[in-house]
Amino acid sequence: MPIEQADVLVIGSGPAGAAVAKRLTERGAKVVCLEQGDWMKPNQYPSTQTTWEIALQRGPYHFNPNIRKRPEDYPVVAQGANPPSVLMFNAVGGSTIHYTAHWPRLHPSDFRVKTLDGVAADWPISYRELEPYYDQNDREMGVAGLAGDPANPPRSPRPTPPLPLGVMGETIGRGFDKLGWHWWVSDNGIISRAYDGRPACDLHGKCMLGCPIGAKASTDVTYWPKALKQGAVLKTRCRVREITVDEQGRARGALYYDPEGKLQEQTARVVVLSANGVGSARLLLLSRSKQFPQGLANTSGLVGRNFMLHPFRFLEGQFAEPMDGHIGPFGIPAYSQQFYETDTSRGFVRGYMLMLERSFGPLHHAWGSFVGKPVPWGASHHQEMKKRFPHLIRVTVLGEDLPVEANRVELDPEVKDSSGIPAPRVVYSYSENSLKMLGHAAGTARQALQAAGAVEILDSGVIQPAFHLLGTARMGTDSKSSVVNAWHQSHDVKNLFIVDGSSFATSGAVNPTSTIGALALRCADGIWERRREWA
Amino acid sequence: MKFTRRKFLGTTLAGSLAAAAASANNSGVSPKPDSAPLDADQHEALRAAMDEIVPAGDGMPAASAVGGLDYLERVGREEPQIAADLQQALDSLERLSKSRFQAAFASLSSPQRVDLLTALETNSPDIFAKLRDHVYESYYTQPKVWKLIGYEFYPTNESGPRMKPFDESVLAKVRAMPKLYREVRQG
Repeated sequence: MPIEQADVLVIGSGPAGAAVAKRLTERGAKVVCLEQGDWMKPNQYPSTQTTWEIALQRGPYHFNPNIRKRPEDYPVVAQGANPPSVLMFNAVGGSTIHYTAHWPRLHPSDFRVKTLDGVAADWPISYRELEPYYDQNDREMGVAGLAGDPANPPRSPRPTPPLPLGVMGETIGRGFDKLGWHWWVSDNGIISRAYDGRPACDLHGKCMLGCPIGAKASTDVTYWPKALKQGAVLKTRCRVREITVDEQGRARGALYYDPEGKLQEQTARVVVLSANGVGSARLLLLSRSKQFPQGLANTSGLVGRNFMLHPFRFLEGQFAEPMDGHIGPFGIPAYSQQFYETDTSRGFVRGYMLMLERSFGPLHHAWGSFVGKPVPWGASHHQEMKKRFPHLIRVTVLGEDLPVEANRVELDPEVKDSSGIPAPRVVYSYSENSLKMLGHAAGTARQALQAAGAVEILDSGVIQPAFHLLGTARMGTDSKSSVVNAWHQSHDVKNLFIVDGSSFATSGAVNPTSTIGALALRCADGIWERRREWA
Repeated sequence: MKFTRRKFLGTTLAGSLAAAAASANNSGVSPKPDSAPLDADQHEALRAAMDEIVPAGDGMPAASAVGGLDYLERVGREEPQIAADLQQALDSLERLSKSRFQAAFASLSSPQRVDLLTALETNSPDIFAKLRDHVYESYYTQPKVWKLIGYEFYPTNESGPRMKPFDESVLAKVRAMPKLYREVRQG
């Protein structure tokens, strides 16, 4: 049943929606959140079952909604020269349910890309403005790590100490040291000590397939219990069809299908859209009206445009000694930001991060692991398998993607979800800059693995883009070149806020979740400070 | 840049994820809702194929010796797409076998089977890849195999692995580095 008008309607319960709901209910606002997924049952996660690795290939916990096909999922059509395999999850907690929980921050230079490097756009905010919110979000989510990294501005003591590096971490660290390159132990949204009522990670691994004990910081175990205690109303299995507007062109609320499939409307003084970089753009484009025939918040024509995905590449070094990459929490044990900042002598602008990543189990190794090169079958199979398992160290390249208007999210004219709502279609091609960057990074990742003692190296080559949905409702100061302002407020619809990966003006070269949470807390404070305007 | 199908299969998030995508979206064979279990001949052909893909040797058992056949028949009954993948591969092998050796695949010698599997891998890589991946799945989900390769599952409600706590001294060299990030004028 619809409830009375809310102060704030939040659409989506992932890292942004959860932070907004918690922060605003703490202040005293009446918040309703609509989430198309449901609460997950951690004791049913694949990570609890011996067949856990099968979830990497098929079934209801797969990362790709086109494969997972849960009732709450919507299909994503992919096109372009490099059609992406869009990864996301629909549930209370959103994609934090199965993210790696790597928890890096953007650099100060990431907020001034145009000024410093003459490309893309500057953000309308600075690192220093966001820094207190990074800290608050770290405390809310629970982070393990170590301050003092010379590649990043000083940061507050981490809520819990670093997770173990493992043999692989210490080995690659020696490789980086030998080359004289930067590396550091990662911040991860996985707590190494009991924290805020949650138990410490017990190092079982398999974290990307759901943490059954709540040590990984997914928002169903961090923000949401507190938000609900403070009075937030979270309505699950409620799929939003469109954001509605009143005759003055202000957001009125949202039309949604309730769990019985009946169309309802939830009204609110303020609407916050946090449905991820694909889902938020889709909903804005779906919300066409007489006042907004191009879709809501879209007089710039930029809703859905500048879709960014981080360019990735995987290199796996095979070592003579066991590296035990499958042992320990996933996250990212360590990273190098030696090549993060622009150096135009490399032939491209902006930069990338090299991440040391753990691996899944023996089945995933046999299937070809992250490089997509299966262990040979036949007479040599066992010998080859023994060379790889557990002897691999994976270095993952995560590069910065530059915004390109032609890379976009739009509505597919034919494909619809189970409620009959048009599906999003993503169109994406790698830029020349990204391809040059990936080429350079493959060389440096190879150097690092060789310096650490790898006897053979497997390279994925340029992979199908997949990770991190960014930029489709970007922040900016100019209403012609951006969708929202520095406070995530739509330039067109003053009581509509859009905060999630879609808000990113540029992508940086780090996993985005910690930034999404920080932006959401800051957005919530902005809404609260201006609350008299919404009365 | 264009991705060929092979490139696509080899290079997404993981080979396995891409294979799943292909399986879910692009399979040439639609699963029958009531896919029949393998008949006796197919059963023997699958046994023969899986034991060439993962043969006994180097101290390890063959795929069928650890219950691989039962596993795939069970999964095939539960998931029609897998039954369809297996039947497509077995049909292809039988056709090759009849054409080249005028005999059933299961009746061939080991070198002959390897020849035909190699031909399938070369000429129909997608069909072969599904067969190979399903066989690997039937093998590496078996606790008996885990024990032999030193893999421990670590169930949720039991102790996890012992790992050396993080030792800050490993970062001594990095700590001595100058600042690497760019300062930015505020504004």
